[in-house]
Amino acid sequence: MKKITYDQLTARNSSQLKGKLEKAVIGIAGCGGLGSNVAIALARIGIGKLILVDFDVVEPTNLNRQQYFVDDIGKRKVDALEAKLKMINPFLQIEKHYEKLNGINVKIIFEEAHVIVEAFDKVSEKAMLVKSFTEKLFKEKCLVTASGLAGFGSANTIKTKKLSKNIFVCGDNKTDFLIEGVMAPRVMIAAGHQANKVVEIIDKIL
Amino acid sequence: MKIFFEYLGLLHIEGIKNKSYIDVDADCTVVEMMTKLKIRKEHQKFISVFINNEEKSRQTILKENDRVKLFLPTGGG
Repeated sequence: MKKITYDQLTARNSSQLKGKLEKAVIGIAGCGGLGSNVAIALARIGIGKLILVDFDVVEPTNLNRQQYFVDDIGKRKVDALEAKLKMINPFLQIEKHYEKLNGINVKIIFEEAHVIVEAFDKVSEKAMLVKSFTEKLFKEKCLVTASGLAGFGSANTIKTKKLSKNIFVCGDNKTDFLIEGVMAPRVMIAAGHQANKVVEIIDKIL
Repeated sequence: MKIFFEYLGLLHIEGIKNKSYIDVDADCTVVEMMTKLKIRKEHQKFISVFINNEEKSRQTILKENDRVKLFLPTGGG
């Protein structure tokens, strides 16, 4: 592989973020449509460490929105994503967890994270992660969750909204994948909102 | 008593305008309010509660003019 320096990778970043991104640890809860896109965006800008959590393997039906290739089918998502992230940013530290998150292991797995990105697809899993915050499992961390990115149509209904001091939600808060399907364009917009909110938080706290 | 009520995500509550003042029983808890609003039990368990922009338990007793936000995420990712 060709060699680059961290300074070259981050040369076009906002100068205000200098020295901050490489210290940041971000938890990615789910490496599907949202999680794979958020992880790639953060890897590109030189984030320090990502904690990737997913219990699934890549399937053909994932390819319409998730950052995997045909050759990845059958691989664990955390492994396939790690390989891509390393090709983009060789300086990135990656911690992988091939397991299902629950109300108990979430605290241990994300202990080191400054910000956690909720990137699940099922309502019950999304709610579990938000609940871990509302039940004060995490007092000093921030959560960036997503709700409403299904179907196609207006891109401008996808917004970032503050739910509390440390919980933000990205999406239109309306569309649901069981009714409208789920496709790359709107998923990537919501993931972009999530990644951008992560950067804003890191700028504030580090 | 009156509270300011907002709901986000999958929730659709018949007859209640989103982001509006509604009447609730004095000293009722969030759970009691949800039941009175006929929010389905299978939805209730996935709802997160925010009062005056803070995460709160569903057993919290509501006060006059509280700003209550219920969040039930929609699926997809």
